[in-house]
Amino acid sequence: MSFIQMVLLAAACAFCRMEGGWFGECKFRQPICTSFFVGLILGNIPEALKIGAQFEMIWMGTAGIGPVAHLDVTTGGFLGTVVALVSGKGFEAAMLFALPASMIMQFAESLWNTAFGYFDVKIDNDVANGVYNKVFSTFMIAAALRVLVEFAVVLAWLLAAGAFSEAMSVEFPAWLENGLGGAGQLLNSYGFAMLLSIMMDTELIPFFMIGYTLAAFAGTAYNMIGIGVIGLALAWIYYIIANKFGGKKAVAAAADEWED
Amino acid sequence: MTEYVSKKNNITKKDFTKIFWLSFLMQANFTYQKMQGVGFCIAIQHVLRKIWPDDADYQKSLQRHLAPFNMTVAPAPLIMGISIAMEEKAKEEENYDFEAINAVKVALMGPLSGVGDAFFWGIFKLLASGLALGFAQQGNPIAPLVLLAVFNIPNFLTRWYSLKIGYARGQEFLGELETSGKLQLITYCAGILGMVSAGCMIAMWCGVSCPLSFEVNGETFVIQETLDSIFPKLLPLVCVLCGYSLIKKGWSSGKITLVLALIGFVLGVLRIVG
Repeated sequence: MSFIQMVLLAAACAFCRMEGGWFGECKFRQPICTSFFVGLILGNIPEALKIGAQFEMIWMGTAGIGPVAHLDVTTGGFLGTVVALVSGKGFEAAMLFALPASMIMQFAESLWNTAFGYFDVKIDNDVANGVYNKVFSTFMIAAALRVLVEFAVVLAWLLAAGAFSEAMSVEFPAWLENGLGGAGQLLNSYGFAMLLSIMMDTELIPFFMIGYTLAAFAGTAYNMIGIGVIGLALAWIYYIIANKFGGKKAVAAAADEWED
Repeated sequence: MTEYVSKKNNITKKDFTKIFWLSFLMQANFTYQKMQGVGFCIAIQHVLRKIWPDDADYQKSLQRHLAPFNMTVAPAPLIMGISIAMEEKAKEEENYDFEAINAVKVALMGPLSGVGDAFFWGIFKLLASGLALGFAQQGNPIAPLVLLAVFNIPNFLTRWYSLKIGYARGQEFLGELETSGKLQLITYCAGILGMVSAGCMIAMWCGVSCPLSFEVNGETFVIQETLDSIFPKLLPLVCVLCGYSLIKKGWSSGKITLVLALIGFVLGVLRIVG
């Protein structure tokens, strides 16, 4: 990595992180998007996207729900893709670097969420003192500072990623390759387990079974659109039945109403 | 010609377009202090000024909307629309209970986030990732575009229409949905679509396989082939359910990641998984 490449990478990563704040969670944060930028800057888009796809899968279930800091898949996936491309070692090496990075950055995020509360207090005081036109500018200064902080931190991470990639670019023995491959597969399944845990409801299990069995047996004959249409049809059928005959949820709600 | 949304307070369509764009900034400075509170306030600040020309009233309205706020971002403009409608009402009516404005905001945050999360995390993000994955695995640069388009078309539409609906008849609309149980029903139906998609995605993309094979009387016996003849993709399902039960046991994600990485490493070295 040249210095210019590193600056560009840090800027691109900060941009992808901004999406949650500046662009209303428009999903630049997903590894498929971040890896595209890495590929663009390092000159190998196809390889970068393949790595990005792997990260997308192991983090399939991470969702930004609720007010706590979340696993930083943006910075983690970004740095991991850099390591994969620079070391030429592929996803396993990328993962070794990205997993700890995403956790450390999650912790950093919670620190910033606390520290930047300073600006909230300042805005409160301004309004109490009759200074109304500074609310927006103070808010945006805080937002811009956060982007700068991210930029600086990613730049530091990139130095570490460069050194790490160099150490990784030696020939791995077969047992190490196998072990990393196995770890990758189990972590991949954990990503999907997280996805289940945010959506699971005992009553939804039959629908999970339908989706799983169709895709497991039909393999690539189905794709997401096909299954999506089947899911939509099932949801629609349930909606009609519940509406007509008072399905379980509707009845439960009606019961609540009586108690009120 | 200027198009008015509310003639009596001189609120134009342009003001609403401004709210729409500012609503994207809601989390630009997310903090533990107010969460998205300031972001909410800056989005409707210019309209509040129009409703309350008097400084003392304006100050109070700003303070009302600087209260801590947190919800799924895409349908948040609905609450912005409702807030503006309530502020206008507060101006007209004497003895208006101002506390009601924040009470309504807080009361709507929860259920609206529930529906919002079911749709935006459970369906749109899942479909966007799922559709883009196939392209990304082939290294096709169209992948990020597919992901962004599939997610953002509903994202933009929801923001725009929820703002309009929220202003025009938000409170009654939501109240009706909630008391009739429709909101729960819609959330549940979104869950159905989400779960069918999740099942499909796990079977399609989760690649856990067993490379073990034995020589029995000169015949090679491959474990994975036998498993496939019973139920294809059985191993990924077992692994996902194990991970799921660990999450349900309340293990932290760091701990699970570490433990699974270690187990996977050992199984990989032994060539049981890989």
